[in-house]
Amino acid sequence: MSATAKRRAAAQPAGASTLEVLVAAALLAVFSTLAHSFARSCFRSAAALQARADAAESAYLALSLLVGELRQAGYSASGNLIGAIASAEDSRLRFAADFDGDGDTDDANENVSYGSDAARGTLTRASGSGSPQPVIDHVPPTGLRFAYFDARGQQLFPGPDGLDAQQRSAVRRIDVRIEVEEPNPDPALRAPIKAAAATSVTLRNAGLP
Amino acid sequence: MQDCPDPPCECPDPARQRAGRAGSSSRFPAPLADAPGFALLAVLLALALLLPLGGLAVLEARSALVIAQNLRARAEARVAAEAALEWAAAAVPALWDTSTLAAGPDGSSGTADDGAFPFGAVPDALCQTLSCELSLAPLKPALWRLRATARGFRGTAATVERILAWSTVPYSPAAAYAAPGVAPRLGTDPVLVDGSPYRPVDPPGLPTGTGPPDFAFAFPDARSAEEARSALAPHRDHIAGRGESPSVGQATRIDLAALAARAAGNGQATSYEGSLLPDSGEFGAPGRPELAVVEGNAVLRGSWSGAGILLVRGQLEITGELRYEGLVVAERGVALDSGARVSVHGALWVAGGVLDLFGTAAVLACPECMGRASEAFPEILPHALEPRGWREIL
Repeated sequence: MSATAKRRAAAQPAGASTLEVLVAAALLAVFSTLAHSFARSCFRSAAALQARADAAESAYLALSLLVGELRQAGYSASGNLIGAIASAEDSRLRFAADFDGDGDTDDANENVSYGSDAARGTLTRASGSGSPQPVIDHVPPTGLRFAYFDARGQQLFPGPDGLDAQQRSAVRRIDVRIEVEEPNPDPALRAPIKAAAATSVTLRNAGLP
Repeated sequence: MQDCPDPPCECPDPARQRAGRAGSSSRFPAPLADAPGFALLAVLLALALLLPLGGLAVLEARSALVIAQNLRARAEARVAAEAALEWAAAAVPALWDTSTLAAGPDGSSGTADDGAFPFGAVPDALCQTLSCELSLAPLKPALWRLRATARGFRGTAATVERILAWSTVPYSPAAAYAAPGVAPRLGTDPVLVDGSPYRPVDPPGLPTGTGPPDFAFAFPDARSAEEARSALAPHRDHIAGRGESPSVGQATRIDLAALAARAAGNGQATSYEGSLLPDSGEFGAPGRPELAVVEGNAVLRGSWSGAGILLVRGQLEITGELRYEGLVVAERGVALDSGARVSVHGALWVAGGVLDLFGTAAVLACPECMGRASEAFPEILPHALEPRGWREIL
């Protein structure tokens, strides 16, 4: 081999040995495993946060809808107030208003009930005699609760059939609590992600002359 | 850079030279980072991977922010609309007729402001940066719709309304009603001001009438009511009626000047000159109510009685005795001396001056007595627009 050929051979890369490739592959595997674990943890945390936000948003939106309708129960455009509360139980409430003043509560959204469907895990709303429609999902069996109070702030406790007529006419304020339990996106964790929204509704039309 | 001779010799590659300077005779090629353009490629690849993730995060955050802003704006608008509605309902005074209610602030039908709220604009403090609008529209005879709309962030709007009904019975908010600034004072003699529903024959402390109690004292503004509540706290046992004791509250405003003008101009009125009043006498009787208008100050020194409506255009001072069924109105105050003995079944309204109850006095709300007075003189007493419903336009 001439001197020039030797110099040229020395200048050319000789490649990596098997051991070097194996070490590099092992390091890459370790690094990839760490990166995957980290990424998975990040994604699960993000998913958990998203689920928590979804649960809170669902509870809040359902509460807003319910409260907005409940606040005006008893209204009548005719000026003759009607009975605000048609039936009142711990987890179910039906109330009425006469928005067009025609003297009945048969029109759309004039006779509304809220409850929960334990089998399907939904909070439901029904208008008139229509079937209950789901409003939000992932509501546990005790996820919708009502508490009733009279003008003096004394709580009225429903019996097996709910509040009686005298109690219903005395209701001035209703506390509402909605709970939502979203499935945990982390399969390793069984505990659902919970959120609750609660408020107190003063019936604006109750107690008016 | 080393110059290459011609013919070309083997010029060492600079990367290889640097690798050699590192002291290794490595068989690995020179670092890729030294390859021209590789850093840019790596950065572009990293950006291509990271940008969608970053963009997604920004979009998520932005949509959440917009949702939160909309919810907040909606809540703010609703609260402002409710505040405006409450203010407007309190601003509607007791009225004698509703013929000009729909004519707007100028009181003339057929003008541009028809349908606008006729009793002023919503104070800025209630609506802050939001825009609040009020309207008052008739629904049917004796029934009105007062509506408040608040508009705010990004066109968010909330509207609430109240149904107001023209009351068929004359307005009587309390046993004693006083204009703003009138400060009631009680002495040490036995005094009872009671908003409970009395009948004309009921003695003080034993009401047998029906219906909800009224306030003992009422004022058209919250400040006067609060000041009176504090001042009358030591006398709480003698001031009974609606709410907590002492029973003092805020009520719909009564235009006492308009009432006085109506009473004085009424053809049924019996006029008296205050300075010429005898020591004793009567202003009608329970079976014979009288619309008595006393010009100037009136000083009742002896024994007086009456029924109906008694209007004193100056100050009513009582040093003797007065038994009255109906409404007593004093334009410049009421002063009871310590020796006075006064019984009013009905109401006592004071437009200004003092309200000194230093004698033995009983001012007792009596809806039946007010009803009789209104029946005898139907054009004199105002009526209120009562709330008959509330709703939010969803």
